[in-house]
Amino acid sequence: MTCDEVRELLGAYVLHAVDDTERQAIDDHLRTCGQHSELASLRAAVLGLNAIAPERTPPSELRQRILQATARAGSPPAFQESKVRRLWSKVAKPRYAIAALAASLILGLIGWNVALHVQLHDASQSPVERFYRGNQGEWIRVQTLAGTTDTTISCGGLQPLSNGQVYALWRIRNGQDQQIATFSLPGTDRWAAHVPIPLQRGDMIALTVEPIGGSTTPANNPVMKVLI
Amino acid sequence: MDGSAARDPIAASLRREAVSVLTRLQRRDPAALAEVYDLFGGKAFGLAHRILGDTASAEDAVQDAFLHLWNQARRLDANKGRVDTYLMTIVHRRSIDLLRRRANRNAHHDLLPEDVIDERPIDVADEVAAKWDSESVHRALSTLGAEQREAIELAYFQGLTHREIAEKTGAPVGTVKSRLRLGVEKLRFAFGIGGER
Repeated sequence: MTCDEVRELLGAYVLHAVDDTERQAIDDHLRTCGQHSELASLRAAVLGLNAIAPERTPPSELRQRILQATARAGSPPAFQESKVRRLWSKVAKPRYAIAALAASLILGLIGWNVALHVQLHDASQSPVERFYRGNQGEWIRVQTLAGTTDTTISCGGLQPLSNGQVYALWRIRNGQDQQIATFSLPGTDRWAAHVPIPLQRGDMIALTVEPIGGSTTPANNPVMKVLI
Repeated sequence: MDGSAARDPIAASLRREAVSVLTRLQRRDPAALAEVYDLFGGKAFGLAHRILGDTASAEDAVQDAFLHLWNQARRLDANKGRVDTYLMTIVHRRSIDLLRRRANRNAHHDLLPEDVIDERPIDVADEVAAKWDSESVHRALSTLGAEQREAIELAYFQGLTHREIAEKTGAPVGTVKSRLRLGVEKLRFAFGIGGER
């Protein structure tokens, strides 16, 4: 993209009114071109538009949900590390373990109609988000700060729990499951938490319903299972 | 900080509090996030609701924005940025993402691009942010031509791209690009923000 082309699109660019291809092309151009010093002030002018929107009182539970989501930051999660973990598939039938795992991956992708959106930023400290949606409206979002263990996991569209039940979130790596968190849904269908748990490609995140008090291994079939 | 903020003790006080709260966010102080929410949650929710039009989606956008702020605070310069300006930038971007995802447009645009982290516009905005209120911004918008104002509002509050605005309004794409560019430049002038930096 040339300087003139960028200049022509700069208004749309600062208003976020360009498509992804154009945004990428403009970003690439701006990284190497020093001819667009007006960009910062144009962006600043656009920020003023935020003042038009009237202030509104958010639902009261939103504050608590946000604070809960960040409450665990800075301290290790209460993981339960057992020395020997059964393979996830062994919860079902050992001799079909590998086949079940493979099948669950395929079925998970097809049956749950998981929408996988991955964007990776190679810049260090860039946020990386993975969003997965099941076909019943449930979703899991994993946001990680590249190069760190800062991870936020959000879940939503979840069905209400019965008495005595909690949702449990698991990380499954090399067949070993590790509980990330348990949570209930008081008056809402979503949950989020900041958890400094390292995730990598190939990890699986599973959401199950467990009895209150949690379980050391998943006791029920997953509500949703996604492959990072 | 500009002169008016320096003369206005409330603005100066808010400025000091904003610096303080950002410093505490960088130290991962959860109470600081609660303070930011109590101070600016209504503004953030109002913006998200204006764009998305429903409570549940607006909640999602605001929650995402606060989590992003929490995760990214360390990257900000506490002596430069106003945490509310930064927060509102994230809320806007996240709301537009959700809007486009809902409309199945740019559905994979889930990330907050790097420019959200760019402190320069926030730094510049900080010079004039104390002057921004609904009335002054409406006054600034009134200096724009009707077509420029329409194009800007369709882009910023309805998440339309310049091509979509062209389709909606029947104007040529090149004309829409010009309206957006000239409209933003007029806003910059109306806000008294310098052209070169």
